Order: sequence, then C-alpha cells, then structure tokens
Amino acid sequence: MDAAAPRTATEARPELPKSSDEELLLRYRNNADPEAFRELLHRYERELFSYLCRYLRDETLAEEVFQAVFMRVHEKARLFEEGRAFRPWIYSIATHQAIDALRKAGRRRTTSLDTVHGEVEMDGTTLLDLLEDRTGSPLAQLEEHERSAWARQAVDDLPQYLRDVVLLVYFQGLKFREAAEALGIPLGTVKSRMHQALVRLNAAWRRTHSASDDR
Amino acid sequence: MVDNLLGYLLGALETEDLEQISLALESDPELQRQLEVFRQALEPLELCREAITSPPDLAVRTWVVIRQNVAWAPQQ
Repeated sequence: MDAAAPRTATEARPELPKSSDEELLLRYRNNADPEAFRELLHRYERELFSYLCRYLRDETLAEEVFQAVFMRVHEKARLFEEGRAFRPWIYSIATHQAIDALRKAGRRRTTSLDTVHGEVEMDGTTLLDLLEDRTGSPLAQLEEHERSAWARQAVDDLPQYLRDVVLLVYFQGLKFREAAEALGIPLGTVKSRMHQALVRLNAAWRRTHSASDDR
Repeated sequence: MVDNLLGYLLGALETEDLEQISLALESDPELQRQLEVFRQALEPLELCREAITSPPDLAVRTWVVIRQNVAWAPQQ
C-alpha cells in the first residue's frame, strides 16, 4: 500500500471503537490501517512528550525524538509479539531513542548526587533509617519556589540508572512491572532502585539543609 | 514488604500485591506508621511535579513526517 496524502491538522479523525493500544498496533501491522497508528500517536502525544522533555530537558530535542520514536514504532511493528504490552514497549523505544539523542548531542549526563554533593556510601541505608528520627519536614522550612528548584535539581542529579526508574514510575505512572520491562531489568531491581533514589534524595536534602544551617 | 509500601503509594503495584498490602495495612499499625514515613519521603518528588504541555499538533506533524517517509505497507 502506498502512502496516501497526509491529513492536515484540521482534518477530523474518524471515530474508532475504543481499542486497546495492543489492538491498534496489531491492526496497523496486520491490516496496514493508518487510522490505528494515528490513534496511537494521539494517545501518547502528551504522555510521551512529557517523558522525553523530562529525560532530555530540551523541548526541541524532545519533539525530534518523539517523531523518531514513532518512526521506530512503524519499523518495529512487525516484531511486536501478540500478548505483549504496548506501553512498556514504546517506553523502551523512547528511552533508547532519548539515550541516542543525548549521545549524538554530546550531552550524556555524567554528574550525580554523589559527585555534586560529595561521595556518600548509601548501601544498606533505608528510608526508614533515614527518616524515622526526623521531626517535621525540613523541606517545609524553605520557600516553595526554593524547594521546587532544589527538588528538580536533585532529581536531575540522580545517577541515570536511578533517574530512569523515577521518571518512569513516579512521573509517568508506570507500574513497577512495566518499568522493568521498559528498562529491561528485573522487577526487584526496579523496586530497589526506586527505594535507593528516595534514600539519596532525602539524604541529599539533609546534607544541603545541614550545610545551610551551619552558615 | 517495604518496597511494596512504596509501590502502594506510587500506584505501581499489580492487583495481587496491591490487595495484599491493602489488607496488611488494615490491621498493622506498624505498617501504617512506615507508610507515613514513606509518604514523607516522596515530598522531594512531589515538589517537582510540573505540567508539561506538548507542542501544538505534535501528533499531526509526526503523522505527516511518517507518511512522507515510509511506505504504508504491512510490516510482515
């Protein structure tokens, strides 16, 4: 089937019966149904763009990568196995495309909370260890915009392997199992990395807070 | 159990785990206390939630690019 003339932005999409993402992809793959593909594009437009923006911290690059992701969805549709979930599959593609884009742009991150705030051994520390003895929330002692700025920077400074899990699970709302599939790592690793990320964020807060108290 | 407490707060558990932890929370005050600790630990992340809006017509423009660059044929 040849490519038909592209629809314009003002053309209405025909109503499709509510289908699962997987059904849409299979309909596209098996029947070359372009409307199924368009529906997927619209379903993931905002969600995937948000993910790429957070991952790349660059809206222009995020837009380019968004388009590259759906090009890959087209190219890899024939490899999509029936019974597999679409959401972790497309997040896997998006993550790989984002990593490639950063590499090409020479912007692969190398900093982490450890390098920014000093090397700290966190192995074995749990959130309960860290937080149980604190009274009240130290974050409440800063102005809201200061707290938000600190928190955004702290998340950005997480080691990539922890940040990946935080972005997928916390910001994108993936289940642990979906994040594991998207990242190609065991379920237990996703859970422990989420825990470790929170330990580091809260420990970093304490270090920052203590330092500012000392001044 | 601890990791599933986090998963409970994050909505990241599968149905079976969710039911298990929900049931345990109903009758375990220590688990409830730990849940509050974890809720507090999520504060730094809550602070950097920001609404990100996709550019106008991103999906439509992506569609155009793809249609111009690929033969729209089944991939089998």
